[in-house]
Amino acid sequence: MLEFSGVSKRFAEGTLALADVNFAMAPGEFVSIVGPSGSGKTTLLHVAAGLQRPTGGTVRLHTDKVGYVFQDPALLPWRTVQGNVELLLELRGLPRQERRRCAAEAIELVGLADFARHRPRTLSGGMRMRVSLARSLTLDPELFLLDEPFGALDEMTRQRLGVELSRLFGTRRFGAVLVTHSVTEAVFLGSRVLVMSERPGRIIGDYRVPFDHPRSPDILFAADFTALAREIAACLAA
Amino acid sequence: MPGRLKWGPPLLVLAVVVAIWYAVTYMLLAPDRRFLLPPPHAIVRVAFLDRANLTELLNALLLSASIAAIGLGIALAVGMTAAIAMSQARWIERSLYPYLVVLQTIPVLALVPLFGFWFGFGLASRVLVCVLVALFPIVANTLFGLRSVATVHHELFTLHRAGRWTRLVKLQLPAALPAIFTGLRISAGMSVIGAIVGDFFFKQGEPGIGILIDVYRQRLQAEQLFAAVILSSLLGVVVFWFFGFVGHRVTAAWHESALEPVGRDSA
Repeated sequence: MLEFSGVSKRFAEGTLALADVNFAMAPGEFVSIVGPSGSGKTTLLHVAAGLQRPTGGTVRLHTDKVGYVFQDPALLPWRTVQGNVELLLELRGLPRQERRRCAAEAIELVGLADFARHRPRTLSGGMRMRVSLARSLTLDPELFLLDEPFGALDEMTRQRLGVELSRLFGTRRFGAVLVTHSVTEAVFLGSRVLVMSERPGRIIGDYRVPFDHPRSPDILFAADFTALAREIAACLAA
Repeated sequence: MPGRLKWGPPLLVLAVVVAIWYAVTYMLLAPDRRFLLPPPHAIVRVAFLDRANLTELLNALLLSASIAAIGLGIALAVGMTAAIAMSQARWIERSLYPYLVVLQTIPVLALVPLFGFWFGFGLASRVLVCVLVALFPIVANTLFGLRSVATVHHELFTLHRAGRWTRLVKLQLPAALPAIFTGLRISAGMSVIGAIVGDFFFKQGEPGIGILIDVYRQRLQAEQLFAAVILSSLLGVVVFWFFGFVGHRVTAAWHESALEPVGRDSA
């Protein structure tokens, strides 16, 4: 689905953000990438999405149905929830009827049907994030790139959205790359966790997560969950 | 906020100003010098209650307002086109912007005689003065608005391969609306001033409010002179308020500037 071989990225001003990044993910795999801030996680996603070009190595992406969720929900404030969710289909030139239908479906899926006519500023942070997710869902992506989507939210909302994302993943089985600096979040959502080093970012750990999706918050207290999280945190600190 | 609280303070200030006005007229000025500051009731009686005088003033006001409106319309079309062109390529911005700044800094009175030379002393020149003074705020604000789109929104559009036109129409122009209205509001006020200044300078053709001001001054018709000044400032206020109102209607549903400030006057 997505393959990085020997990828590096140096910015124009000379900073080396990524150095020799290698990994391959299978379709339907949920890969969490955890690393300290400034380790090049967002750059990695930008390179995967084609927003930035690598300066070395190759990136192979085997689908063009990619959904990108930014840390900022990136909603257009002058559009309603419905209008925002329709945006990507509009950019692809889909007829209005079809746009309406797809958007309504996606809004329903993230539980915001009652808020379709609202503008973003009247929604909470968590709701805005769900609108952003719904917008990506309209493209029926085979790969989701998630750039710390819950980073700006409070702990409770984070957890609730995590559970919802796991439920969505359980039913739809898209591939996903989630970038986060929270080890707990990485383990809770990922079917696999990659650990990145400090800058320049390299992959220094690769862990399988042996729990099925959809996951319940109860697993946060399971012994094998905490043991794995501890192991990953140790790798991150090393 | 209750109506009494909203209107009370400005009305109180008005009352104080009128009181001082009367005091100056009747206590400081000798009767033979009262034409320098006629009392408010005399202005109302002579200028606003006398049908002939009022008609003269209102016709002039209408003419000046139409000139200002035509000038503003042209400035809006030219200004937004220029700003959009500049937002599309740095080289266009680098080529045009310095001259716009020069245009803005040349005292308009220095250009007015030239316009008279070139285009005669009629409607065209008067409109041109309005365009000239109204252009810069529209260009500067529109360009600022088009440029202040959040990076993450641009990334979203890039990611989904939006072309220039789509990006302009679906992202940049809507995002720039609040700034465009700010520019429009300033320019509308400037355009009214431009209409009066042009009028005042050219002193030819059908009289606008500027010509009347000059005529009343020469004839020492103080009441009418004051009425003309009051009406021209009222026109400016109405125009400023009108575009503020329209801008608010357009952006109120989503833009921060249209929201009630929190924590102010909350008692």
